[in-house]
Amino acid sequence: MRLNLCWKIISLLLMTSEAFAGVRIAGTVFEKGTAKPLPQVNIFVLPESLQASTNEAGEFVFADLPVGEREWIINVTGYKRFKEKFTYDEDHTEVKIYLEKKSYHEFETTVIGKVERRDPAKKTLQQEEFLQIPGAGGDPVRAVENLPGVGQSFTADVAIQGSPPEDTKYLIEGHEIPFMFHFFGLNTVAVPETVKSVDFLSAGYGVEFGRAAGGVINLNLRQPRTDRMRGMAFVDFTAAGGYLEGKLGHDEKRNFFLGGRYSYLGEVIKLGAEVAQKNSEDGEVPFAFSTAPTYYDLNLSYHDARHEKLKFSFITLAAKDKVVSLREDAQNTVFAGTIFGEFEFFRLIPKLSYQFDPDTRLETSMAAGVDQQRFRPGRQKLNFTNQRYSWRGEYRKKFSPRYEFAAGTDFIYERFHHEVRASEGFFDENDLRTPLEATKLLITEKRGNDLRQGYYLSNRITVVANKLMLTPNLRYDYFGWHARGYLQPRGGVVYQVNDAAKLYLNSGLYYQPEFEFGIDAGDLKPSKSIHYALKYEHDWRGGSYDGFTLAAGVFYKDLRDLKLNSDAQLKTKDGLVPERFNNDGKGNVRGAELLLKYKKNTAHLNIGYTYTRSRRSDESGKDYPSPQDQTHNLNLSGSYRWGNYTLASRFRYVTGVPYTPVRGGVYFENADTYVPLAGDKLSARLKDFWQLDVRLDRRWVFNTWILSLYVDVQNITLRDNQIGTAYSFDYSQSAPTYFIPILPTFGVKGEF
Amino acid sequence: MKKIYWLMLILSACNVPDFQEFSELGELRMMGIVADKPEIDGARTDDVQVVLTPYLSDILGGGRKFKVSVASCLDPGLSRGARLRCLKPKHVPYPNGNTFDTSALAENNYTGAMDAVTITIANPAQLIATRAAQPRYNGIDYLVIFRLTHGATNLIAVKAISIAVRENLNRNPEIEKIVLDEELASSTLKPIAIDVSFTSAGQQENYTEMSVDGRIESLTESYFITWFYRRARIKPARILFGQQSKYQSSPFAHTVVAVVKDRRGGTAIKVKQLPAAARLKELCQQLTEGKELCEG
Repeated sequence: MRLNLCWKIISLLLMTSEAFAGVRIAGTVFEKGTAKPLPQVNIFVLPESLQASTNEAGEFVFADLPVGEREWIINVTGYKRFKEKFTYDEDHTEVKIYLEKKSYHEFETTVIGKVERRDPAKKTLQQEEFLQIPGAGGDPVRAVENLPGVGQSFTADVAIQGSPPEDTKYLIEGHEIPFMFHFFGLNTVAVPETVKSVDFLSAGYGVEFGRAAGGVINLNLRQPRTDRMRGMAFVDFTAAGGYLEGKLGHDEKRNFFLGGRYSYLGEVIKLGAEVAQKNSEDGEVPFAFSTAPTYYDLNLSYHDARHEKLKFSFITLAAKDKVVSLREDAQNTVFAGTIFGEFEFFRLIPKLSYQFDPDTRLETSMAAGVDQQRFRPGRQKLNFTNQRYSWRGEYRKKFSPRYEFAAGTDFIYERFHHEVRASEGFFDENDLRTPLEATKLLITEKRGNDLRQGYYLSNRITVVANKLMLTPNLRYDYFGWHARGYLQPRGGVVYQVNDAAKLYLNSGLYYQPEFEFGIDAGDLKPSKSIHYALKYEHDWRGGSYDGFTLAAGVFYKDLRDLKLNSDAQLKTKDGLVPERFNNDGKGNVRGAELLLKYKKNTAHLNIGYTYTRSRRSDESGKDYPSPQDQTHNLNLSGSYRWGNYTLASRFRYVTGVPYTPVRGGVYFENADTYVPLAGDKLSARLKDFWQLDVRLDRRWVFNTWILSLYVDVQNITLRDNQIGTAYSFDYSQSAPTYFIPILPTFGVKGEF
Repeated sequence: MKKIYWLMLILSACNVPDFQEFSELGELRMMGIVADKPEIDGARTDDVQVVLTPYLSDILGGGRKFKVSVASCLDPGLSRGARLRCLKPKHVPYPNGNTFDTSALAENNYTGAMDAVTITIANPAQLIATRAAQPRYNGIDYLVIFRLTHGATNLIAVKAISIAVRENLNRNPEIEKIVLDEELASSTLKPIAIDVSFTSAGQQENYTEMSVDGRIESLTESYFITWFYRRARIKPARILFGQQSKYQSSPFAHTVVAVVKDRRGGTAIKVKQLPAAARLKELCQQLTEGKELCEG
């Protein structure tokens, strides 16, 4: 022992003598992959145990480092241990060190705490969740399908708790947009990496939003990061895009974001068609697709936080979809000829918030934009232009720990110009329709404006601290189109069973404006629904990241004055005119839902289940299931990450949806087509749906950038999932139509 | 808006089942119903007679006697999703004791015109008097429903006669002849064309429609041509006027039917029996060693 100590002293003396021949070494410590300078990092050099720390720019200096080989060691929380040997002399005096993070998932450090949600009926998916969900292709809104209460939809429209997709409102930063998805639900209209979170509001949702009988999907865009200039570019089978973000000026108070995406799916399909045509003997295109869709979207954001209390941001979002025919199709009995469609919108959204004090805040935002939809199927022409301005404002004050109050406005003003020269059948909303070619031509042009006013008062009253809270709220909506206004009480009770468990009861009245673009829809009233929702939540994690959480509940929706197609005649002073629509529909939805989540280190498992009974009745009082009557909807999803690999999988099972069977066809001579003879309304069901999706992600972390690659395979078991029934020209033969049997996607992404 | 997307999805569906082709004749089919007046004046207060001639094909039936019933009524609103039904049907007697024997068409491969039937629309002005100006101007449909039955075989066909108060009433197009611009003996696909003569100076008719807000708009008819055939091949079998189909002959004698419709109720039909393509027949006989198989 004594001998050992002696050697150590001798060694130290020897090193000290070598230290006299030291050099000045300057260096910088970066995060590997992102090249972000890391401040306050301690660097140790052995065996002398010399130490240096990085400044704010990640720089450090060893003033007098001994020449020769030394071992460098860095230990930083969240990063892999750095241990490497370097040799230094007068010619090598600079060093760059890259520390590799243990995980490169942006939001890995999710804070687990007891955050009281303002609206208990709201579920939120954060970016790190929706980017990883298999089958959703990293898309924020398609990922919402994994949540209980969301019906199966092949168009990726979101049908909430047995309500039709038309009863779901799509919002960005609280402002309505005309469509949330590019064609066929391919993608949400915003690049997923620009989306911070997606809110899903279902039965019993609060007063902040309205005009939606089913629920609301709201996208919250992410603030640009300010630490450095960042960027990302991606390419996959259907689209390419990217973004750039960073600070403006020297400080980190002003920053920007510019992102966009372009889909060349249409070009790929066109190319396929051309090749198929070249190789075809008779010059016809033996090609499955008859249309070629393309799209783009663009997002430009500016945030300014120079003032401590006043925050300003300006968001620009634009999206356009275009579809053209690959061939003139005169044989189509739905319509004959070519198809052309353009659907676009843009929004300019300035937002302002002022924090008077920690308990008082004022927020306001406006959205100005234009929605344009031009559609030409065959000889039909539909042009819809809407100039849309919306304004939201909210004043919020916490008067005491027991009482919080908010008052807000939610206005939409719209100037519209709608032109229709199309078959009447276009406005037929029945499940089984008369072919468009067999319906009469309707010509109409409407110009006008519509003001929808919304006001709300929201209260949170803690009756017994940590035990009982009441939320008596009120909303008033005035619908200019209908010239009617409605008071809508909504509210709930939150009861804290214990530290880990809560019980929520929510109820509310909801009115939704009903109108049809371009046509006079008679004397339609808004539809009405009353929601009741009871939910139980339990968190077994005890404040840690790992463990189980459970949310289970039941809901009931009473639906009145629903819009129905009408073939009746309406008496006017000029004589009888087609009524087209009435409010004679009624219905109800009842169901139960459950979401069980489990997390353990890098493994996640979610089980979502919804039971739904959705019924409707028409003017005759006859009761039938709604097309959203999906009795059982089960979602099992999970992911596991090891190193730079992530494997995720999803299994879905959904009861087949109801449809109206066909008893045969009648030859309609004028259009040379057949009109289906309907059986009992929605009395048959498609086959049950089930699908298994798998996704594998791999990252390569280089010093200054990260390369990611993913393979996403939807329906890996090649299961034939029925999406409808196809009929022969005279309806004498039928066969199920299936969704794409397997959909493999391969993508590459680079980010710095 | 959402239904537009749904429509597109249907159009882009990837798997189209292999059903019987629309244009291939064989089973009992109605190919068209020619009304001598596809549109009648809605201002007339007298009785208006309309003669309707249905064209059918029942090649595989080989001569059958069908029971025929004819009923007529105002349209219940088919365009707006109403179920096809006549609330107060007016029954019209069909010739030959409400029967039609397809043996009468044996020479034409059981394909051709049935006996015509005449319907009387009494006081059209009164019939549509309660309707507003716009639907009256554009026309209220008067449906004529044909039902043919033979045992379990059943066919329903509907013709809509428009009762309108607009100035220029619709007239039928006419087909002069079917012209094949290549010799029939070829086995390759060849262009086929028909000569269509129009009722107004060789042009598709111009007509007017009233918009919901009362504006009068001028429109031009757009014809489409449908080919029906047996033992030949014509592709595409339905085209818009101005487009061309291609024809492939057959080693058998065969039937070709051309139907032109103006989408407003105007119809013209021409049935043509074509001989076997000589060279194809020769080839067929060589392959089958002269057996009678090639005689069809």
